[in-house]
Amino acid sequence: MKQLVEFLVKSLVENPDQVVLTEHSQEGEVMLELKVASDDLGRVIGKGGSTINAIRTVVQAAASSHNIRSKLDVVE
Amino acid sequence: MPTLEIEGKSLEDAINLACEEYHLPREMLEIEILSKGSSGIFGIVGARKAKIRVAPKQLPLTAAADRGKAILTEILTFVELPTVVEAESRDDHVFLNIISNGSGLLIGKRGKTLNALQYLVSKILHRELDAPISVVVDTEDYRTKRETSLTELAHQLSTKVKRSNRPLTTGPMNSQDRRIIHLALKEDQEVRTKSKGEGNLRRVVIYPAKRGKKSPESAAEAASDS
Repeated sequence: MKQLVEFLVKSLVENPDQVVLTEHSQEGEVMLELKVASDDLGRVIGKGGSTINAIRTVVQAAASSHNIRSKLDVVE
Repeated sequence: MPTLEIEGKSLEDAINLACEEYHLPREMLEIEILSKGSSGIFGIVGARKAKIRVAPKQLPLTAAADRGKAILTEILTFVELPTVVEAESRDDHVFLNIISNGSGLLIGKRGKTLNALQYLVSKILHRELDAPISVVVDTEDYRTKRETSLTELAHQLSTKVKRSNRPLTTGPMNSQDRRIIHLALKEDQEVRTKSKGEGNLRRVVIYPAKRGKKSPESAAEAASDS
């Protein structure tokens, strides 16, 4: 899941080298925390959260195909 | 596609030969003039042939379709499903079709997943190509089916509106869905449609038309919702 988020986020931001993702996996659940350059925060979140929600939806679909749940948070 | 060097008696002649060679009109070719050629004195002494270098222009939409296909394929490698992506450049948009096993996982509730994929692919494509190219992602003919059921819904609602002479509102819909409703009722002179609300809660209101007044508004609404 981490690679998927990484691919999507890095394709959307101006500073792909400043994308940091941490992954915590538990039984049947994966939790991801995303950090990006402050300039890119808006690009990742999108108007009214539209971009981050689209990323979440796609990650959830990918995760559920592996029978796991996923959570994605953006941290400052 | 390959680049060719073509010679002709004159520039015009060389270009015509190039068009024949590629079976393309002149506008679709990238032409670089290497030598203009000259007919020489009296057309005999010192005549040089015109020479051009030609390559067919790649349509931007074709390039976008290829790139869109690559992006979507990359995303789908993380989904544990057998998938193949077909790409097609249509008149004004890129159409990407996912062939899968029909589990509905990629559609999601009311097309949520499919719309998210479409949103992300088009967003990435805009950034890369720096051009607003619209992208449609489909699977299992979902878009067509959705259009059919929304058109049907629109007609049911309009029948109710005409009977009761009171406006009715649809549920919250995205712009594509609203557009389908507007277009379905565009020709109907007895009702008019208008989008209301903000953001994710935007919906379509169907009003009974005021008597003796035709509404050009619906058409404009459909255009603005596209």
